[in-house]
Amino acid sequence: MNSRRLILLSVLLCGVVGVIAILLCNSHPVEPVHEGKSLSAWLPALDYANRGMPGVSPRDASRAVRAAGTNAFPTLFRLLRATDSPLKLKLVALLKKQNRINLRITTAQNLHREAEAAFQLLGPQASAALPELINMCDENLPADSKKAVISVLAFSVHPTMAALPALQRAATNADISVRYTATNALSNLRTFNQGGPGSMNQISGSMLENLRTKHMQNVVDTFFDFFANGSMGGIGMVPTLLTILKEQPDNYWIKFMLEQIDPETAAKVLTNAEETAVFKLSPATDPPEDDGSSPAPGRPLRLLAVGDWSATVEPASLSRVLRGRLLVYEPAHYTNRSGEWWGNLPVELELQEQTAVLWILPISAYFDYKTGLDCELRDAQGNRAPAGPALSRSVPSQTWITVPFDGTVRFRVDRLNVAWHAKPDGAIIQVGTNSWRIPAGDTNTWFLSGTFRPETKHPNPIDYEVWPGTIELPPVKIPPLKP
Amino acid sequence: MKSAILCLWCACVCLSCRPVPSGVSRSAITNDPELNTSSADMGRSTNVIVVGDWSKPVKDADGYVLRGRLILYDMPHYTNQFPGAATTEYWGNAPLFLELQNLSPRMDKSLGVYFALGDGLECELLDSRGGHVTNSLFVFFSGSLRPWFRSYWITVPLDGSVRLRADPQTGGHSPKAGGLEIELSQSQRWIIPAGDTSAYYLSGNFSPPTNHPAPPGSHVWRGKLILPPMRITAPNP
Repeated sequence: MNSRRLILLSVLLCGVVGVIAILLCNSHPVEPVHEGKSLSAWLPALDYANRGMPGVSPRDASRAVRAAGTNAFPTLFRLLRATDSPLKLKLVALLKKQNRINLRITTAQNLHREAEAAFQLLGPQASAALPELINMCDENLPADSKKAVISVLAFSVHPTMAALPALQRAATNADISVRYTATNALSNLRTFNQGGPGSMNQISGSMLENLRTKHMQNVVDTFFDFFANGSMGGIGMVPTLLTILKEQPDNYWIKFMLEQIDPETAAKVLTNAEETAVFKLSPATDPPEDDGSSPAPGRPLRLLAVGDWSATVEPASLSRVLRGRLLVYEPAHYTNRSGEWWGNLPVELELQEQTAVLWILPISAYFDYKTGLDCELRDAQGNRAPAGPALSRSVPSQTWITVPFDGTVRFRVDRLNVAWHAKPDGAIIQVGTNSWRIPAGDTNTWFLSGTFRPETKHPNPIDYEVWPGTIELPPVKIPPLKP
Repeated sequence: MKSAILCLWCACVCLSCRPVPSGVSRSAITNDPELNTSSADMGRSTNVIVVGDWSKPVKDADGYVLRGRLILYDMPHYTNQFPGAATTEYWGNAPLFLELQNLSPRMDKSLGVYFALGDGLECELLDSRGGHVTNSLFVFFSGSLRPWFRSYWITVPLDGSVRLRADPQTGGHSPKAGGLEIELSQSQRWIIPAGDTSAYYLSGNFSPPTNHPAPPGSHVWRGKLILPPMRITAPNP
């Protein structure tokens, strides 16, 4: 390569670098400077995820933001519009999975948080940003950006009713998280009560419309709003509720809200009549004579064996985590007016909610006493237990199990109603479509394991989310039974 | 005679004030396969501190029977790890559970129980002399506030039971280990400091609200459970 070509190439390279530099400089408007640093150099200290990081001071960053005042707006709007490429997101996810390389990458989410915090610090000055924020609310932004804009609009800037139409539109966004944030923002708008009673009802109506979706986040947020501001919305919500109730007579949440807001109207349009029982009482489930000698229907069971907890299961389609275990109890033996009775070994399934993030409402699982649990009973060598007596045709109807937040529920999974007049030869276990008999005098240790796979095709009657996973229940060790 | 009556009266008053020690002992909890493998706060609390005695079963007008007890876990342990910074540790308030058990001889329906924080469950913490423990309102707080609102229907299945988180679960907020923080509402928060070896007694009553539209297919239980006092001491640091 001769020197002329080398010079030409160098000039060309310098030109390209120069153009890129000019483009980069022009792409970011001139930022306010505080103590020799640009505003965006201070802002990372405001992101709570950076708390504890060396070399950043939230107090100094706050001063920089306040010093910039409304001049900070262009920078903050730019941060709110920030997005991440899919490649960058993948890289961040990969880095999170390991702990050897301690590398911090600033994501759009970080920038959004910085902007939100900065708007909060600006206080009343931030109100001047309202028109642009309202415009941004209607822009075709990615969901994360839109949520950040709505959050600023509702929580960092003193909201006015001018934001109502934009928030109402956002409350119908295709993205559920945007809808959720917008509903939350509407609630906050109502708290500030900027527009008088007419506007209040407008907001109430908009929020109640969310109950049509029955989506839990919308429901929860509408409740937050109601409990925070219920007295402000008041009776104005009732017509909307009655309209939705006509269209969706089974919408539990509409009934709930109506009852909370206007009990008198609720009493007229809602009835709490109980359904007819479908599971007939058998003589065996009559209350026993109260001699206190043994467990029986209506008495606590005596625990025989507890299985290990299963692994936690988080279904792909629903971020609610459950785990389970089996419990086996001593068989019932009691007398009542029909005579003396011997029962099967009661088996219970315990489910525990283990979702790492806070949820407020319970999760539901549909349980069918015939098909809800697939069980096996084997001895230590893996041999199947001998078959037991034929299954009774009478079983309780299917039921909904509700697992509360961070709580547990235990429920009978055996055929429940079976008790025998004659003392059975050995112990009988009947779960689902299986019936086994452990012969009297048998010295084997038996292991009961199962798979819990609740059906998901039934809608929950009170709209709690239906859990769609499968739990493999570790074997519970049943010791040799006493004669 | 008068002094004898006075002494008798004083003795009666003292006896009526002093809670009767009750609950499942720690060694019993350790040996109980049900309790020693249980956890709370998504696995952050791994030890049951105390289990109260069961209340008397209460039958409602339709013959459905429910009983309850309180269960208290140790304070959940949270950690935060930011890149380039040391791990920060926090402890949350002790998870308190209300366990409800369906003892109904009628087995045609599950029991519907409406649970709402601050509506239906009332608790009190007494010292060993029967005196009310002053609320400790000054708590170091760091972190985001969790919502206090939590209300929902729960069904207690046929012959089954449910454990409900009865405290607000305010997340990790105390930077100090040891002691015990029990929190039921914003006005009911007690702190037993680390090193306090005194015994305290937590008792309560539960009468769930019944004025909400019931879940179909369940029977709304109506009544009041008296939850016996359980003896609490702060765990060793």
